Amino acid sequence: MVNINELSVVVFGSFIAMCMLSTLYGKGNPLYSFAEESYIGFGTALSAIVAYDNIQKVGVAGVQAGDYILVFGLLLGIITMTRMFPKYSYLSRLPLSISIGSGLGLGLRTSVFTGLINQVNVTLYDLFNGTSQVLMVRWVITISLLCMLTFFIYTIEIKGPLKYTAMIGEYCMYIAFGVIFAQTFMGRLSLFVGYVQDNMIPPWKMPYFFGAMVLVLIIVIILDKTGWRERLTPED
Amino acid sequence: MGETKQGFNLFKAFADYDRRIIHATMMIVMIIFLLLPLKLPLIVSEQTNKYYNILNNIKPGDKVLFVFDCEPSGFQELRSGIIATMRMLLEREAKIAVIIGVPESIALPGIVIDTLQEIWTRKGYEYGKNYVYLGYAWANDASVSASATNWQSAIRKDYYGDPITNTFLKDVNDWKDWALICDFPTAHFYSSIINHYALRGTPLIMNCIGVMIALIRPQVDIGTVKAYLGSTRGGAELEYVLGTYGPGLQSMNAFSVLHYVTIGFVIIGNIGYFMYTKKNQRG
Repeated sequence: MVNINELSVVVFGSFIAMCMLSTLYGKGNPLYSFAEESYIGFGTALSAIVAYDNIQKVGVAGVQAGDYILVFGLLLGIITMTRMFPKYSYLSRLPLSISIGSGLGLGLRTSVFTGLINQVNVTLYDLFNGTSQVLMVRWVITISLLCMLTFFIYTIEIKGPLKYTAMIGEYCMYIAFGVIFAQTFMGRLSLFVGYVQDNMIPPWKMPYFFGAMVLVLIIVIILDKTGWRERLTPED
Repeated sequence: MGETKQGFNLFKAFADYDRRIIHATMMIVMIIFLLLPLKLPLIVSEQTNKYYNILNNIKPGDKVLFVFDCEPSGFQELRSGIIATMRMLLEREAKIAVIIGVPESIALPGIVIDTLQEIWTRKGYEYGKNYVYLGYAWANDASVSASATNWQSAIRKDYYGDPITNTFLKDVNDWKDWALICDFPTAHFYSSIINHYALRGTPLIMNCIGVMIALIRPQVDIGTVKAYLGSTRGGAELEYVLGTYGPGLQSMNAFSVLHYVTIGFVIIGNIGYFMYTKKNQRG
């Protein structure tokens, strides 16, 4: 038995999603604007509430538990609010710079290993031991890496053998771009299939899904043909 | 006036047909193949087998961090992987702490719990004793770093505002106390988990969105990420290995056929380009 809560989520969710997809009609329309701005409003409100909750649980609860160093954190948070007062807005740079500095420090300390040293280690390591499949992968990675690096040499004129390795490196990059594009496409398609699937299965959802689809399409076509589409669509 | 009526030119039609035809075709094909009870073949990749083996080695009582690092907009892509992973952890009777890395995802754990309600009940999972929901406790790099070195001072309360000392988390002190971290990223927050947990030695597995596979794969090569599932396809493979027919396998028919349709449109577009657009540019 479907409860009213679940039903309202499906009905409203299908309608809003179809409003968003109405952009595929090829022209801006008020239903799309409505859905888009609703999402922005919802996202902002939810982030604000969750952030407030986080201050309570981490900051206030921490101070109550005797972790008084967190008072400085709360104070810095309050100082950030000075951005709203032009006369004192310069103060807001202080918490911002602390945040950027600590973030950079924490990130750089480890990114050197995950992004560079360890990557070099596994790329240029053990090229002669392993199964034929493993060796093939390692050699392909090593050769394409070296060729691509020669493509990015800017300090000398690329000629002689370097010209050919740079060319191979360039084609390796094209292949990599193609792979990334295909993975991106696969991901976006997964989202679309997942969304439609979620709105069609179990079968009791189908009438609402198709109903929303037809309703939104009819409204957009009517608005377009009667000239109301342009009048009702807010400007960016 | 000077216009001449031309006959139908197939190549011209291929070159400049209305793109809404693509959208409509994709939608119709998807709906048809979601409803058809076909079961197209599926090959399980090496990564999925590794991912499965890591989950399969979890012992009853092991503490696992389950990180919803995904935005609601990307949830559909990871849903099958999230549900299949959670299903396995429940079957293995792990102690699960669910944590959120994106504020908008606060309601997503509820969807997963609802889907697996039967297993939660069958395995007798109790809040506090077997699982805890921490909410948006990892707001940034600093909070992840703090929890990796001193959990008790970094995370004091659960999502409902109750102290974590009333739960199984009272025994957690730092990164060493976690048997596994399962992360489901749609953005770059995963790097904090790699930097502060995985690099120290906590085993980390991921189910990432398609766009991120190229970023995650090098981390698998260096061993910071033990195994990964790529997009819905990875989730479907895990469902296949588990022998459960979940949302991933359910969507694979439509997913596979839509790729063929897309390849078809790419070929048609290229025929139109070379046989009409490019010829006219020369002429």
